[in-house]
Amino acid sequence: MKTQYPDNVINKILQITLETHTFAYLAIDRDGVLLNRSGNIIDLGLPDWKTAENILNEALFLSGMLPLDSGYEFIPSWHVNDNKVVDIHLFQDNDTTWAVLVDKTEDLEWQSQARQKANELRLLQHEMEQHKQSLQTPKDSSSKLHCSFFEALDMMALHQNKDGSFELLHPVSDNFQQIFPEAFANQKKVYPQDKFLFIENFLIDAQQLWDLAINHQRITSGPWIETLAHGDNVALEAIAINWDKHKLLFLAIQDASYQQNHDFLQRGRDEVLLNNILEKEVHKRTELIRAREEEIALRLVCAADSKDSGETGAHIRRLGLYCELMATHLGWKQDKIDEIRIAAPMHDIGKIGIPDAILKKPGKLTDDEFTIMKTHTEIGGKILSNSKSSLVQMAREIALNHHEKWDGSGYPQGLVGEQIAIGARIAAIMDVFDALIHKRAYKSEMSIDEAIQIMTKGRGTHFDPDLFDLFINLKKEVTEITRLNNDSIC
Amino acid sequence: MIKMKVCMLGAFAVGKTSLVQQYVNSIFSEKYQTTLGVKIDKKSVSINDQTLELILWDLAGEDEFIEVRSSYLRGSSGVILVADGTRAETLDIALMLKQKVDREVGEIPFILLVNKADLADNWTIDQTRLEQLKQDGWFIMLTSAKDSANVEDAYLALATKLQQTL
Ligand SMILES: Nc1nc2c(ncn2[C@@H]2O[C@H](COP(=O)(O)OP(=O)(O)OP(=O)(O)O)[C@@H](O)[C@H]2O)c(=O)[nH]1
Ligand SMILES: [Mg+2]
Repeated sequence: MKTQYPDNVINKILQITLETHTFAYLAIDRDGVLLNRSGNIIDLGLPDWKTAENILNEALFLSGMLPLDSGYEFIPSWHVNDNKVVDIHLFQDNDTTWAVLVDKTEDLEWQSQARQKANELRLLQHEMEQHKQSLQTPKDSSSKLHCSFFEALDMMALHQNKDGSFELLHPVSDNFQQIFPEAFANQKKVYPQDKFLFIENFLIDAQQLWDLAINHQRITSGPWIETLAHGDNVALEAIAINWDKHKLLFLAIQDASYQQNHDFLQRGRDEVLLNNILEKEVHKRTELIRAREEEIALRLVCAADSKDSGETGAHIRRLGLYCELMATHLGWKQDKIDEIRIAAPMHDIGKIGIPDAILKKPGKLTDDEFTIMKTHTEIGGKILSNSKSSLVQMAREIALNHHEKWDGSGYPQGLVGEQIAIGARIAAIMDVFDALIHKRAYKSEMSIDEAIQIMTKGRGTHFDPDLFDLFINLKKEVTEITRLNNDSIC
Repeated sequence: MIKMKVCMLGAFAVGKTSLVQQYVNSIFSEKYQTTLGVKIDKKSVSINDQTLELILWDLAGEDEFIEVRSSYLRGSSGVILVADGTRAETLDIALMLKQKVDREVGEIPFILLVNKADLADNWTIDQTRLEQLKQDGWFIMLTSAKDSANVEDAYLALATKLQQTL
């Protein structure tokens, strides 16, 4: 045995080893009576054995194994049940007791396990504290036992010398021979900081910790990945610890829990990416359908409006865009914003039911004619009624209510204030505005400022005052829409 | 030879590992294997008769599960921020990581790569924001780790910036 370190150091190393792995530890006597246990054996799929209980009958992996001839036996991939697969290490502790280490290799319930891992570790740590006493009582054969431990667990323990080099504390597994062959050439002077750039960086933190010399404190590096000579990747982690002024450094090959965390992360991220793709696809298709709906709606509205020489395709297009602008600034959700843009242009659809003689009459309408003309709101409301589509429902509200006035003097129902659907209140402002600033057969156009001046008289009587103020605030954007949308779409 | 540490930083799955692998080993894999932990690769590059050894730290992508440890950034000479042109939100993460670098390491040379340029049909990244960043003096390149477009040039561009600091 090469190491000369006192047993309490070795015991501490053992404790850290236990803490950084997910496994359970059992001590049994030659008859199979449980003397001691730690770790969460239930989680590993084993029964909740109590100390002083004879476990030989239930611990099938022990059958025929005791007493051990070799002092160490390894049983890989033991199926505890359908879900749990573990590695089992058996060590002869002294002549009459054996240590059983149950190490989780694979867990088909990986997902919940990965989440539980943090809790498990804490639990294990707690239990280890309780067992500290027994662990710190050195036994004659403990060094041998610990060395086997390190080998079995793919860990390398190093102690820092005064000159900054490290000394290897124990023989290590074949895996480390591949990862860090230099460490075997001169075991008294090992330089992990030269071999691994990652460790070079980690040692800055480790050195700070060691300089503080606060006993028991430790830090971990987080995992890093090395590519071996034959191209395989291996994940490692470093742990630095202060122990009675000893500067200890562990290099550990990451165990199954790393793979579980990786798989967990991979699945989570794959899922996010897939959802992204699906969402984009759905969005693209919805846009396509929306665009088609919008075009059909606009073309139908144009067809209806062609009866009324005053209204143009460009006007209804602009009306949709003004309403969209207002809705956006009111903080509406995107789907509602899209709806008002498409719905507002249908406000005059009811004119389809008004006789041409009235609709196209040059000059002023008589009272009777005007009464008929006013029915275009109700006709529009009727055409668009009883729809399950929220878009058509909004179109109906606008068609029916866009001639209502804030003070109740409008038609057809004489609704007051917020009784009038908000879509209709918005459309009322924008419809009047756009009509004023454009030329019609019977009138010339006004400037935007003139239109606003006239309309301001209707603030709070004809128009919803808050919406009107918003419209005034958006004058610049409104003007831009006017400027850019003079081409007729039909 | 002068060694310079360069960190690859960006959201998950933007192509950090793929860019390093394309640059160092001229390989590309379609299969997404997320990086858990740190992977360090090296490559030498010659600029104006001077050879620099770039020590490339490929860090795990940042998301709600994982955060880049500050200690990994220590000693960096330069940073390659990576965003995915098909995922607009990855630009926000790149900008956030840039701030983190500024805080932890200070102002060091960096470039921004908008990767997956071969997927231009699915481009969602906001062009005007990129233009804005360019106006703010950012060096931005569109790359594809898949068909290797601009990959070599991107590293060369950063190396040139690094060399100017010597
Ligand atoms: N089409 C295309 N795919 C790419 C490109 N670069 C990377 N990919 C793919 O994108 C996925 C993620 O690439 P990675 O290189 O693993 O991304 P990463 O940033 O290292 O991801 P994390 O390690 O999880 O942070 C993989 O499926 C790659 O094949 C590219 O330029 N074009
Ligand atoms: Mg990666």
